[in-house]
Amino acid sequence: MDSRLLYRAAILGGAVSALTDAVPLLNIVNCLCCLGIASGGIVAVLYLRSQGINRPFTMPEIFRIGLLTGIFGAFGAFLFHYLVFQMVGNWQIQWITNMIDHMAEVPPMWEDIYEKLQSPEFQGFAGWSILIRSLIIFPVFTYGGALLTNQWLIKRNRG
Amino acid sequence: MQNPPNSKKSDPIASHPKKWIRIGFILITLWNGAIVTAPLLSQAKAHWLQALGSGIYFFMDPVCHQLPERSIFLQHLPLPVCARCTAIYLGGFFTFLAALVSRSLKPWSKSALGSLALLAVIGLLAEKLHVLPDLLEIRFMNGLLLGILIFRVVVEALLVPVTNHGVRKYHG
Repeated sequence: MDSRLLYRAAILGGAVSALTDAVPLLNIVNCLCCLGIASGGIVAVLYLRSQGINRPFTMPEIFRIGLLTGIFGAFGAFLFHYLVFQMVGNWQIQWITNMIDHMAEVPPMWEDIYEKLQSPEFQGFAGWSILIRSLIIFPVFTYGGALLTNQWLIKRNRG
Repeated sequence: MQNPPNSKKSDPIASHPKKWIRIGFILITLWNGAIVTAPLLSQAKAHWLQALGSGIYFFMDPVCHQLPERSIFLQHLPLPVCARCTAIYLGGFFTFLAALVSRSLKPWSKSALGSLALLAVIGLLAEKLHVLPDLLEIRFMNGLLLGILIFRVVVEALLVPVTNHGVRKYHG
């Protein structure tokens, strides 16, 4: 497979994964089994197919597509998380505290969590933790997305 | 130089398909184990165990909305993924377990996979359109169905390797 084409597909898929992870509201799509992050792998495979590769991909190829898409996605997510943090602050922590605020009955343990979340250490940008987490999670799910899409295309072509 | 058709040298999965099923089973078991132990670890007395539990919640944040009202509770804390996601991964565990213990695994037909997918989509739509009550149990069952479907396709992909020359013989 042409490396330039592979990198283009991985960057495109990675951008889709990163956006669905970091952008508020858009990340709701991950409610369904991490569909947003996995969609990066789906997009990468479909892009490669649209570029004229009509045979099914081999396992090592799918592994490379998923891994590269995940790595680009992880760095993209880190960047988008940082941009979102600069614009609206730590919205995820705010979202959790708002949710606890609106709970009719707050269990005692949750009150402790609520207090902890108010502390300054939770108001900053998680930075490296986000990058490390994404570098583990993204390749697994983009590989899964690429694998499922390839398998679906094989089944469809078999008629 | 390209390997001839049916050569197993180029594809480690083709030469040891069951090995990859075993690896998949270990990974999904660890993942399910992390889901179940996170609330317990978060309440442990040792600080490092608490940190490990919190770490699992943080680690699983991108993969699920983690809404408490849609999650199963264990020891007063929600699991780090919602009921549907928990069931999806549980479905994956059972699918890999079945693949591991089965002597012969035939690929499911397109109509069987399609019917299962249709059932999952109908369940999801019925729940979102309030045809079915908004119950944790229904989300769990729907997730289990989805999990079996998704991971069955993954298992089949591991058992039906593809070469540069097309789909190879089924290994199961």
